Amino acid sequence: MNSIDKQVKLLMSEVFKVSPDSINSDTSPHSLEKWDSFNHLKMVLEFEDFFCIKFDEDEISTLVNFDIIVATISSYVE
Amino acid sequence: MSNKKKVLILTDSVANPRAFPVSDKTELEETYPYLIREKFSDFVFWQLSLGDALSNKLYAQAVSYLHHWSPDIIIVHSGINDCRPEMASISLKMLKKISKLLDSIFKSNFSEKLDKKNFSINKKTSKTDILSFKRTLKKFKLSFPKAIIYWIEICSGDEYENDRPGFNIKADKFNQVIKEIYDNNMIAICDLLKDEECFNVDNLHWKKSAHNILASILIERISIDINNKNS
Repeated sequence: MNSIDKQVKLLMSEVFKVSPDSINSDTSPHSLEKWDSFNHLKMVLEFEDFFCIKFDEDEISTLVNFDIIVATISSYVE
Repeated sequence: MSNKKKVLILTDSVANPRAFPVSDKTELEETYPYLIREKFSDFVFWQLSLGDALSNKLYAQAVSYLHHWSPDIIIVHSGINDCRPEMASISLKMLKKISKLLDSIFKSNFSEKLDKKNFSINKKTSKTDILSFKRTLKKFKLSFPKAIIYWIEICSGDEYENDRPGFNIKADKFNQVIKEIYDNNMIAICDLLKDEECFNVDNLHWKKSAHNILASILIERISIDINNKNS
């Protein structure tokens, strides 16, 4: 697991108030009850803040599972 | 769950059939996605071909609806809408008003010339900046790490540069990005479409012959790459 994966897990676990270990490739709004629209935006802001990036407007709605989030953030920082 | 290979085809309008102009008509059965589908009849295909689509729009559709489907092969034919210099938003109607105003001031005949001339104004900017385009290409690769992804080279007919001045330079730069990210999986096609009557009168959409050429290349590549993956 690379550092982006780890950090995404930590930030998601803080936003959704779950253990980092419970977040994996299958984690999505369907598997996490607390992943609602409000927490989605909160999560996006946390990522932008931590990684010093600004997502494209149409990108925000695509961040719907852990793998895609890691891929999107990696495309900015790698 | 079936073990059939899954192929996702994402394209702009180029892969679609076309009815107009009649002389350049391309039937659905003559398009390259259809020809590939015929060849690999035991594969499962899903295709989205959307006119004027930008690459990030196709990416959004793919990850939003088909990420969990885990395609084995992804063919992306997109980029021309991202890179081509945009037409200016100023309308012809507005230009005519301005030219009439100028005529009244300078006693000139701009408006008459404008009526006779069929011209457009181009801006030098692309709809997508090159860094965003590069990120979209990376995202495809990172979001579908197990898939073989082919990205088709951006090309047009020779005369397209006249319609969109600056297109050739932009296309070269965007193609360099495709090459950088996808290397041998960029399907180089432009040189093969030079010798034949491959483009429609709009210099953008493809005739049957171009579809045939790309279908042959893709069929060969897919056959080899799937065999290598299986062995």
